[in-house]
Amino acid sequence: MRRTDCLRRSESAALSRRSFLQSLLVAVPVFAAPLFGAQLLTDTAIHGHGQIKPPEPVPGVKLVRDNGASTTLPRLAEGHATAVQIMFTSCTTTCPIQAAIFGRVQAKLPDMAARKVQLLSISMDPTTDTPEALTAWLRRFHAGPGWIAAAPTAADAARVQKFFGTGSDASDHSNQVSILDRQGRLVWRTYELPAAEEVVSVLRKI
Amino acid sequence: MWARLFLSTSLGAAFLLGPSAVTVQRGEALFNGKEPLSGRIREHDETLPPEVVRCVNCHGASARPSRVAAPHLDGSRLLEFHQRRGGPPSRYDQSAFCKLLRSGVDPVQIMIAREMPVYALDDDQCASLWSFLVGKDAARKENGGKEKKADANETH
Repeated sequence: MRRTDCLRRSESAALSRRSFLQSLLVAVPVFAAPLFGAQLLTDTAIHGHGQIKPPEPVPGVKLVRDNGASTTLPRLAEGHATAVQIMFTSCTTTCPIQAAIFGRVQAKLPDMAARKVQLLSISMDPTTDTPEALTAWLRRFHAGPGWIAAAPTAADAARVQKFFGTGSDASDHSNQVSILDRQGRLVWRTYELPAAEEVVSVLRKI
Repeated sequence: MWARLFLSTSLGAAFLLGPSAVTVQRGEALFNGKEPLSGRIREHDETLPPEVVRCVNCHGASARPSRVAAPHLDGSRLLEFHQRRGGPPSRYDQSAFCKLLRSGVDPVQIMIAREMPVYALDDDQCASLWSFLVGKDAARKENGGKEKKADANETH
């Protein structure tokens, strides 16, 4: 997987000044790590953020949606610009913040359906996160029609985690948002817990 | 001798009283989200809904972490020296604690994890949270230090 960083990201003329400054804010502590020791990099070992070149097709993992329908990730992504976040419904720490960010994105994109844009929350806890649990979670965060949730089958959870996340289990997932194009390919990764504007900005360009 | 007796009595009273019950109670309400706090992720313009920035979500005993395991906050965590990401050891007093909550910067100017929101809270809210988390430990520590100092002065 080719990873990009903030310097690469700065090459993109499409980036707003604000986004670039935000990426610097994330990058500075990383470059400053040697001043304080090497611990920082292991504490924040995340995928790089920015544009993914060349785009990467998502893995053909099986998913069960909040409405109970069985599908696959490529099928779900096909034809939509999709913002993906990794979560699990019983997580009390950053997942609610991630959900709030998607709530903001939803509010800033009232024309999601017309634009063929969707938000996808993928659970890393397929055992607990049944369609009922996913539906309740979406309701808790006031998800509208274009925001769906799904959980991989237990057999496919590790592949999802590897593609989108950073760790090996549910409690060690990424807080980044991954953006898929309409061909179901990963084209962008945001920094951790991005501002809604960042997600909206990328979705509008796809 | 009278001076020492007076000092010991005063310190003893302060130790027994500690932070006021009302202050501690308010701190607990803030920690648990019964009284909402206004917080946002650093560099975000918009504040987050109060229910997603409650202290207890990450620092509570039953918190279910995702990626970032937040420390349990008590006297041993805040009043003793700890290192953050290999930086110099530091510990908190109320002022440093409030600065961290508002800015995300710890006592030795190291940024805390981005996942931890920064809060717009007033001095009273901050003092209440501090009292709830470490008030008794802080009073005990301070009194212990003063008593040791008084003993040392007496000896010399």
